[in-house]
Amino acid sequence: MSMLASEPVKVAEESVFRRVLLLIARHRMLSVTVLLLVFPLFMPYTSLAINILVLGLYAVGFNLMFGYAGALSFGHAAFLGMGAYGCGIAFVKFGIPWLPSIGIGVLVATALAFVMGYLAIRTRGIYFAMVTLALSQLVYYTVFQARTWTGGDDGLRGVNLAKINLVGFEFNFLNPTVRYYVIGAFVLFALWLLSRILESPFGAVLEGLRENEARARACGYDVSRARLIAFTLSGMFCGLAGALYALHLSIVPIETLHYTMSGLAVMMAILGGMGTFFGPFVGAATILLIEDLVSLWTVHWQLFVGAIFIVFVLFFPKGIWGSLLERLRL
Amino acid sequence: MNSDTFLETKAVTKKFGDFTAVRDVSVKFKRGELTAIIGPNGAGKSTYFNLLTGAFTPTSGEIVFNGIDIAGQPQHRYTHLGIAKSFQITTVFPYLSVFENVRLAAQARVVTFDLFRPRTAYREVSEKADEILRRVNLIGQRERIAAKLSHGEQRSLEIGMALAADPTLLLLDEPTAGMSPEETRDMIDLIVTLSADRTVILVEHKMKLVMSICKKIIVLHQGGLLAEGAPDDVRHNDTVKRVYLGQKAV
Ligand SMILES: Nc1ncnc2c1ncn2[C@@H]1O[C@H](COP(=O)(O)OP(=O)(O)OP(=O)(O)O)[C@@H](O)[C@H]1O
Ligand SMILES: [Mg+2]
Repeated sequence: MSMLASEPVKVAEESVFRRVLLLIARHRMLSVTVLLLVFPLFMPYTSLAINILVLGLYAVGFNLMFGYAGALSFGHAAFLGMGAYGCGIAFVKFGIPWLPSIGIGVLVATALAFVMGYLAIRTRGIYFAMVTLALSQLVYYTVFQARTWTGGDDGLRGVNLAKINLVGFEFNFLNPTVRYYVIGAFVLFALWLLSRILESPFGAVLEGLRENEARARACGYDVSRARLIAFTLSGMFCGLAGALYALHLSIVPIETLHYTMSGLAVMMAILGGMGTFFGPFVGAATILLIEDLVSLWTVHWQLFVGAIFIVFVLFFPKGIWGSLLERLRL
Repeated sequence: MNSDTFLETKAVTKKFGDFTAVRDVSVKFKRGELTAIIGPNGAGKSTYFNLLTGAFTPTSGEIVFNGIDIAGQPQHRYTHLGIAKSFQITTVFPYLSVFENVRLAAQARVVTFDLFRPRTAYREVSEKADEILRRVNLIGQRERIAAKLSHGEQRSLEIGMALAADPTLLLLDEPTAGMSPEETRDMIDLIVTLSADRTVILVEHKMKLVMSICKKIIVLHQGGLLAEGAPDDVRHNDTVKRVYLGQKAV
């Protein structure tokens, strides 16, 4: 009796849930805008929301190469890091205003991605991962040694941005809510750009590369060139994430360049769902929330992340968002 | 060079280490002539085929297409020269829709590096994809994921993708491999139709199949050219009988 009564309710609930997810997946720019606006309301504190936003963007950039073009890089920390140092050094050492400083961070990261890509792009699979890892370690040690410019292992300090002028108004960047929405605007712009790229003919070529490189080549696509451009774009998005990270933290820790940061991108993308638009953000939110909650009562929060990661790799290889989409057969 | 020689290999050789898979093969292919490359297992057919499509670079020798030596050019250039192929092992984009498979193939001749316009803005590319799907009888499967097609349908899809490049030379490696007799018949019909508008060269294992439809047969054996000529000449060639046909009664 009770079963009969509860059954229709469950179906109705599920179809609402399904409809919402369908709506999100179909109108991704609209839903990402809405989600971004209300996201801080669901977070324990705003600064965590900003971390998720910035590292989410980092994972999105990584996912462009990994999930869409199908190549696993283990050196993306270099682009996050060079975006952060590029922006930070321009801002602190050269006194360049914050907005052009972000631009410089993005440019530095993009240029580095082009060079690294040029050197690595002809390798495949595990070799590609190794070459990118080695090159990013080179960047790490260079920055580590260049103390006068980078602060070495102390990190680059003093990226203090207090007031910003935007469209004639002055905002207090120290206010977390203001900071969230300013950074959110950049992330939104980046996602809009990414969305355009994925919809474009070039986005189709990237899918082709992931699906079957030999066929893409036989179709007449210059595979090496397409991979290089994808890698450069991927570095560009990660560089923007890095530049925003520097302004958010008001310091660039040397850990930004550490290989564990490259590993974090891999984890976020896989956990959330590689090759999906929202997956990297879901992954970033999951990992950072676990870190935040679990580290309250144990320093071994990474054990939790690791365990969940293993469960997903073994049983839900499409990640959280990817599995949801699959359940709905979108 | 004879004016209706369209493609010519001049003493092409392909070595894998010490092993010579294709040895000194010189053949002229005429424009519009449906030609089959036959030979027993391991004869070097696929290797020779891959030399023609640019997947392999010959160790020595020339590949002259429309009067130009194209050996050693990057593979993706071949498509733009008008040479398209289907692989011996079916090679499609498995998790894209049937339509997107062909659309992406058709797009290659039009645009690669446009990052900002939506792909749907290239109407001519989408229209061409649909036209080809109709041609290879897959329009009814337009929205399906390629991996879900039957083997025979996937082979047709692959030929559709090759056609999307508007090739003047179409190369097919064992297009009927693994097909049911009925699918084989349809495929043969399709090949004959296609060969009316372009030059088709196919690699085939099933000898009988090609004898009836091809104008010219090329027989490879142990990497070398064993015989070439009209089907009847080849059928009655003593060496061919001995090394290739001897196994089965002809
Ligand atoms: N990449 C390679 N490296 C080394 N040897 C190869 C390679 N490709 C082919 N071979 C060898 O070259 C010879 C010819 O192979 P090929 O695939 O061209 O034969 P085939 O005539 O297409 O045979 P089948 O009818 O089985 O398709 C074989 O002995 C094969 O083992
Ligand atoms: Mg073969």
